[in-house]
Amino acid sequence: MRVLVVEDHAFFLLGLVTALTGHGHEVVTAGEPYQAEKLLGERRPDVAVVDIKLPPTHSDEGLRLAALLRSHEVPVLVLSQYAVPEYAISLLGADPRGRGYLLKERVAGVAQFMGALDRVAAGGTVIDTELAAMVTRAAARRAVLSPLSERELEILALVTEGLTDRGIAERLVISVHTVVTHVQSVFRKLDLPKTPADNRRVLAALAYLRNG
Amino acid sequence: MDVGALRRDRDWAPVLLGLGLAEAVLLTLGTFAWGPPFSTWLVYSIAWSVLWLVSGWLARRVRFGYLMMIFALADMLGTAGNIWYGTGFAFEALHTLAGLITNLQVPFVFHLGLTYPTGRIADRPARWLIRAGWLLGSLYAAGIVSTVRPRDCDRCTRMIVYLVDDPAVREAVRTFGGYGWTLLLAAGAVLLVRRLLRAGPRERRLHALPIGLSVLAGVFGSAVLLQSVLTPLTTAVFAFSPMFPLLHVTLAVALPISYAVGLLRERLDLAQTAAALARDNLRLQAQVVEQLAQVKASRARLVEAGDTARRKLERDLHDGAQQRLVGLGLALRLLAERLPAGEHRLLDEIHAELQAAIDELRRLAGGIHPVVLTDHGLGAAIRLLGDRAQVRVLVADDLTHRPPPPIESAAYFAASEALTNAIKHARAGTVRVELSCAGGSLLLRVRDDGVGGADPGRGSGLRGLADRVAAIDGTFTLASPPRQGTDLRVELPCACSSSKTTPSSSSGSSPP
Repeated sequence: MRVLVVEDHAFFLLGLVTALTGHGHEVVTAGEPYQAEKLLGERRPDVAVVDIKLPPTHSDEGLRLAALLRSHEVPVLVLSQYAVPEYAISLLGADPRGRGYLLKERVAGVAQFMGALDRVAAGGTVIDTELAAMVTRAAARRAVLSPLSERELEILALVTEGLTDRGIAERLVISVHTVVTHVQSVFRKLDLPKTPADNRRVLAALAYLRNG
Repeated sequence: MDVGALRRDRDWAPVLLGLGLAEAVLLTLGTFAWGPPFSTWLVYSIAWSVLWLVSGWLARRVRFGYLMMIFALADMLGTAGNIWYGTGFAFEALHTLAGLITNLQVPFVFHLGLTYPTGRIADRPARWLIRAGWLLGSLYAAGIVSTVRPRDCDRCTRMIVYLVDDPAVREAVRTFGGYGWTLLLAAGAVLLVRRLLRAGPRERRLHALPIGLSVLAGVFGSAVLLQSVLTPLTTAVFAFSPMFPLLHVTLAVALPISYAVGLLRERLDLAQTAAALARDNLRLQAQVVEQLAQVKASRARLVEAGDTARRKLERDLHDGAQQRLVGLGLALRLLAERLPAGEHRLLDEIHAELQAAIDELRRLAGGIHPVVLTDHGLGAAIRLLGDRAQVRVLVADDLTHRPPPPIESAAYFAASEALTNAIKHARAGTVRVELSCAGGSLLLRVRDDGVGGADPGRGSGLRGLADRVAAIDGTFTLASPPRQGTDLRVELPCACSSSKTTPSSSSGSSPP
């Protein structure tokens, strides 16, 4: 794939580029959003990896760039130093397809990172494990999730991460059929809209967990 | 006589003045009827009494002024009794009373001289001298009144207590009185000189003249009396030197005037001192107000500088150390991939250690100044605090716009401290955080269902919170009755806006 990497930290960029090229991707790099925008005009990348903190102000330029890339229908995987629900919600917007939000250090789990990148590039949704777990725990404390069983809570966290039914089945080493049954049960108990598409249900779950 | 007690009940000075003036008029009119033809000496005598009266009136603010007026009243009574002539008991009684009064004038003036300027007896020596003076004066007056012979004149009133007709006895009384007064007046003069020498500069400046005149009068008096003892007749005194009558009159006139002037100057001086004090007070007050404003401003600046420094430190950690460590972790992984399987172990351990360091650094940086607060504002930052807390935290955020950074920081750290308290000390199960805006203030309210009993005087955390809030002119109220939870309210001045006009207990963003 052709991957656009927007990252201003040279050493991390080197590692990222090495990892991506090592996995057979073609890499284009930019140090800041304006440069990335120019590259976008030359040839459309298949997917972009964008650091949230970018010059000039190092606040949330990455998220704004992600919104721009969305308008060009480029899938984006955003990297952040922190697991912040607001970042994820603002990134996913109304349509979570082709969006990903991972902590920066996940790149070091190279194989998993490449898998996540592939999922985002294919229009899937990826949310960092830590963020999903944190939000689910907090919602559980608020008693929002009291009707759910332990197993259902576990599965909800994985749904929030953006895993497909198959992905969840693999992670928990259970059958896909069991996963489907659990997921339907969770959505019914929480009165969430029935959204068959995997990526839709991430957004629903996340928003629900966040706001109860 | 306790003049002080009289003054406390009502102001007697006008009464005394009225009585004195009436007495002066009566004395003048009565003299036309019963007295001798007016002589210079008689006019002087009446004028002298009036002088004491007026001087006393001028000095009426202190007890001494009252004593002067009473002296004037007595003196006029004495004059009337001495010069009016008539037969019958009334005249004889008046004449006898005048004899007593005239002879008691010396102890009275002695009393006045020793109690100037307050009218109160200041020390033990003065008390003994004054007692001795009144005793000697009384004995002498009684002796004179009872032994004096009707004068060799056509129009002289008899003393009703005329008992002893013996020139030797009369002479003995004179000698006794003369020596006694010579001694007492000399002692009084010494006492006054000593008092003047020991006085502070202010007292000396104000009272040197009246006290000096008192001393002079004492010396003069003792000289006169000594003379009268040594020569058989008092009248011979005036023959002693032509200077004597002049000196006598001068001293007699100067004494009440100097007393009044001294006391008036003291009042003026007090008023000036008071005015100077008031002026100083105003100046100091203005200074204090200005300094307070400066201190407040510098305190606010310090807090803001602290916030800025924290933000910068967080950013430096985030963009510097943390980024490097994350980059390092990635590089290690890539390196590990190139090694044959089975040789990863050490690198895996290094990577795990590195990941722990990254986590610690992230927590540290988040504690210094949370990046969410900078990027997403109060509501998000407090919600994140709640997500990480080990209790149920419900956040109701009604703010529609973000307050300025110093206000946000103060509110965030207040909420953070309150949450820590609720979890650590209050053992709360649920904490409700409300953010709203009312009347130009940002209102933060944190309530928990814990054990209560929080006291800002004890915990350094709550005190720090109060200080921080005060630094930006906010207010902080804490209600934490035992076993009834804790309700903390922080109001911070800020031009904020809120989706609701009144603070509410729940809002759309929190679960019911």
